[in-house]
Amino acid sequence: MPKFSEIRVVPSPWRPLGEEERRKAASVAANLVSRMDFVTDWRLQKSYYLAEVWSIEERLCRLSDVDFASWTHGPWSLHVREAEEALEADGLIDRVRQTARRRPEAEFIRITQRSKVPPLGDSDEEFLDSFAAHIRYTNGETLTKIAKSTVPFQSTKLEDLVDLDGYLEALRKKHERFVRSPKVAKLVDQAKAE
Amino acid sequence: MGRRPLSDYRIKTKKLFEKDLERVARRDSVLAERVNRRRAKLAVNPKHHVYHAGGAIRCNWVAGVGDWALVYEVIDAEREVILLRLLSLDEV
Repeated sequence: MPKFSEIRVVPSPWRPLGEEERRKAASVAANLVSRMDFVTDWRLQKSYYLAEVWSIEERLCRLSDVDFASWTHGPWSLHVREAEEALEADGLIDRVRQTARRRPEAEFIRITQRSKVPPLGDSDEEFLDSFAAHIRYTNGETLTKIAKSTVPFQSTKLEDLVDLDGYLEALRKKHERFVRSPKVAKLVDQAKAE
Repeated sequence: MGRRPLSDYRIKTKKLFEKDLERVARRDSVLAERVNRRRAKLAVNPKHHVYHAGGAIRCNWVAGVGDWALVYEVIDAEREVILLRLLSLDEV
């Protein structure tokens, strides 16, 4: 047995979120659950991650400040898990066991009072409407496959945190280069000349 | 949800845009679906979650999808959006 002085405490890779960041994460999670059917913990994790990545790619901004780690089974976030627990403690979500497609039964998260889902603002809500319409009927397995195929997940080592802020910065730079490119201007002019 | 504007824009596409999209769809069906979703959103509001390019492709609008960009024109007087190209951001 090691001596007490020999025991090393490995620091958690998860940074603590501030109060406002936690509230935003809970709001995003509640808004996602309210827009989808048959949401398991798994589907919430994968859809939250995809919403973050697609928000970066389509709006050039983050949806919230949560971090995700690269696990064997795809991206996973302690912050999203904590948001889920906070919503459950507030009574905004609960869990029901129902028959599932690939298992005898599974635990699904559902919103208890739709009127109490915290508003996110028009811009985020419009984005989530469109995002949820796209992935609403996508099963957990396919969602995981899509999440795993994203650029930020692909470029992250197993068990490391996915650098979503770095990805946002890299994409902003790409867009800057794109609009300055004479080659792109020429390709656009070809279409205009049709 | 009551956030839709009263009138939508008509979407027109250039042949080169369609060819670009076909090329994308052959490689990545999820991305192609996302482009189509983006296209539908542009019909509702072509200036939301996009930017007006100020570089070499001046006077055109750009909407990002994945690692790609939809380049298009907006003709407000005619309430028309003309999709010009779907290009990879690495195509510089």
